[in-house]
Amino acid sequence: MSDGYVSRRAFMAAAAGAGGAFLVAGWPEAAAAAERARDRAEHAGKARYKVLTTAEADDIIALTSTIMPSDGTPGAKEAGVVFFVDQSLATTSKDMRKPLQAMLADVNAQVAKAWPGQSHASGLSDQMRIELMTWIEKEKPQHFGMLKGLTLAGMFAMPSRGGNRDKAGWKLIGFKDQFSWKAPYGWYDGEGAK
Amino acid sequence: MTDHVHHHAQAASGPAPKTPRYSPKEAVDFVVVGSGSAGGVVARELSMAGFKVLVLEQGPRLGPNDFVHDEIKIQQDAFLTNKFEQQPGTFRISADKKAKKMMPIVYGRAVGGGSVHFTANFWRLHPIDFKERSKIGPIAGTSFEDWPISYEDLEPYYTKVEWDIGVAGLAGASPFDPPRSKPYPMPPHPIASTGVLMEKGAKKLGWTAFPAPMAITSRPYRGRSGCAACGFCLGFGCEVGAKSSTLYTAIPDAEKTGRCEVRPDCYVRKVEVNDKGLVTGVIYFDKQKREVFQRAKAVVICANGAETPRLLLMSKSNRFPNGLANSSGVVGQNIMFNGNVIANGVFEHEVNGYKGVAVSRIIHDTYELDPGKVGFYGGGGFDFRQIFTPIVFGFAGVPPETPQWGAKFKQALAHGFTRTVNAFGHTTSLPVPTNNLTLDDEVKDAWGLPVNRLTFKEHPNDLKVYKWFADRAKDLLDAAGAQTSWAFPTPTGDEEQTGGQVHLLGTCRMGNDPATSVIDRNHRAHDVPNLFMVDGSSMVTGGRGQPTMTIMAMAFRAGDLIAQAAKRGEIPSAG
Ligand SMILES: Cc1cc2nc3c(=O)[nH]c(=O)nc-3n(C[C@H](O)[C@H](O)[C@H](O)COP(=O)(O)OP(=O)(O)OC[C@H]3O[C@@H](n4cnc5c(N)ncnc54)[C@H](O)[C@@H]3O)c2cc1C
Ligand code: SF4
Repeated sequence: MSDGYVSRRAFMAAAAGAGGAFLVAGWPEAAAAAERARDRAEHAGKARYKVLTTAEADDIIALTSTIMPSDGTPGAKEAGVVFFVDQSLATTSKDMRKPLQAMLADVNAQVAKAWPGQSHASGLSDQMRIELMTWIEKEKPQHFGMLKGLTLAGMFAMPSRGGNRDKAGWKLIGFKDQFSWKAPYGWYDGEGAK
Repeated sequence: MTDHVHHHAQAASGPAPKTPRYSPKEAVDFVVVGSGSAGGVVARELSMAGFKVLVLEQGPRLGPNDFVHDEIKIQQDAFLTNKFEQQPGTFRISADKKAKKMMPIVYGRAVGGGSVHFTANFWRLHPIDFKERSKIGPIAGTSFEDWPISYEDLEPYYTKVEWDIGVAGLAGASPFDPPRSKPYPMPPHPIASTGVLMEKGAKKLGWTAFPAPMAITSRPYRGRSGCAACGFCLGFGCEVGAKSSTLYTAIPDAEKTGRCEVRPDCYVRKVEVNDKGLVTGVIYFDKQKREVFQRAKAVVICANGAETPRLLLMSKSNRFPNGLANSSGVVGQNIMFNGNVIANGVFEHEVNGYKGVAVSRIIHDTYELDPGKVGFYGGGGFDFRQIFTPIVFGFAGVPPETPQWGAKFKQALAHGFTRTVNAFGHTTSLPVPTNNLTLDDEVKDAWGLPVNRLTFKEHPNDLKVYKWFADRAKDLLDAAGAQTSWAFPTPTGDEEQTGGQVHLLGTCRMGNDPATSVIDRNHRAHDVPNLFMVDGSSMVTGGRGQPTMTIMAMAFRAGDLIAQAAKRGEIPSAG
């Protein structure tokens, strides 16, 4: 799934659990341990990010929260998508650092071109970021795919992966992670069936 | 000298014996390649019949602790399935094109194979599936054939699967239920909201939605617990042992005999034969990628519809220059995937299809369509479910006109996740000789072996089948009261890409004529008397989706017949 859109093939690949379905290759086995380490580092006043520079992190926050904005309910920023990205890059997705940096460089080049005097997505206003994302979606579908993939994974993957903080992503869509359920499951087999 | 696979059945009783460790130098009675849906059952039947069985499985042995609800680990990292980095494939639409590297085929790669992570929809074929060619007549561009066996031949074994492996369902609930000798051993799973909606839609269209047969326990069964309805079922392993994978059923039964060893992380690359044309054993790579030659009196390949033909093609020798058991040239041909089409609907209230087993109601009114009325040959069935886990929903779940990012996108996710239903159509797909698997010598896997090259183009008849079923799937959702509905586009027949196909059927078909089939009606290779193939590759036609019930029934039957033949001394071995 390299474009983030609903294409039948892409859907089938995702549905079948095929590798590469979510764009970002390779995630850590020891995610939970990494999360604890990060929390400890944050508490000890160490660098907030393990891999990302502050400038990179700020751009990622700006871009992913344009995809999932903070509008009354938590978005990418509150869900900590950037920490998901950082944790992934620090562990088994080390090889994603370069493609990510290349993507950011491309995007920021467009920022400088479209808004003389600006050099980072993070420096743009909300409206400018919407214009920027419109351009990325149209002109750079691969970059868009990467950003959307990171946003979705950072919003909805297990919190131990670094994002989805306080289960913000799951709460947003109404998903509850429970190991067991009893019918009725929904309205139609519950209240609606009465 | 040729001696025979001969053994005395021993009664299995008393405390569980230790699992044997066979030496590679010892010629075991049977090596079974692959421990999936078929392999697990064959190993059970042969070891219970008294034979020494060694199962070689390329994947790891996993257990409940590995089966987490982590989308990234399980789906994106392909923890339970074959991996692109390790074992890619290639694809092309016709033999004159150069194949491109991609992932055309996806299967379970662990002890238990595809039965570990599958959805567990468990339909029997119907009598018509075995003799449809006689009824319909020839179809140009296909190798459409009747099976050499009938529904009646398989019926006792379907029943055995239901009772020995564990299937929940309601006999007689479907007006189209094929004849059966026994009811299901467990009642069906509770109806979910998806099932209630399907009943409503079916009623409006004049069809019958009935309780879905599922290979999942609906109550404690034979030492296994009942399903916890966790919902992470499709594509995930079961952490309570309720999904009736061979990992939890046939394989422990086999090991209990004390005669079956399951050796994981062993990737078989060649079946060896002697100058008399008899199988002598197999060569495999162990976990450290060391080559081991394991001796065997007979070999049963259960590596699935993609890997069984590949292994035969890799097992070339002077005596079998076109690949083992391939004098017909049919090995790898006629690959069928079943049609699988999807429409989506968003409903007013919460459905919460992410809870419980995937499917609670299905429709079979459309199993056999009248070609005179619809203008094509084919048929199939429907189910309603919610296939999307949270991340996948973000990619593929929202209605097509929704913006792909921003506030409206977020809103659609928030509204849709609990309210979306996927209506699946599962259909026939025709066998076409030029749709095949061959070895791609230009692309190697991580062991240096040629990968599977899929050459595939949908038959024009099937494009009509898929369209018809996608349209009806959408009709069903509309009739059920969907507020928004849309169908995913069906194949166009000229796509240069292919997603991961999961029903892998027909590539070593069974038949009476050695010139047009690979195995006989008892699963023995026409060309090699101590070699058997049993799995999705054996199927002559693909049914209407959900092939695994039939694959397991064939495996019970094959195990039975192979054991009988061995006891009668009818399986020569290299000695
Ligand atoms: C996501 C998903 C959902 C599915 N849902 C359903 C469903 O609801 N209903 C249904 O009927 N079917 C379903 N299927 C299909 C089902 O999994 C297969 O039809 C079934 O498991 C095939 O059985 P098999 O015995 O032919 O092969 P498999 O189960 O694939 O077993 C083959 C085994 O052989 C091993 N192997 C292969 N090559 C070698 C080698 N060279 N050496 C050693 N070992 C080897 C493999 O690792 C594997 O474990 C689903 C599949 C997927 C992926
Ligand atoms: S839904 Fe039931 S069978 Fe499926 S994984 Fe969960 S507990 Fe196991």
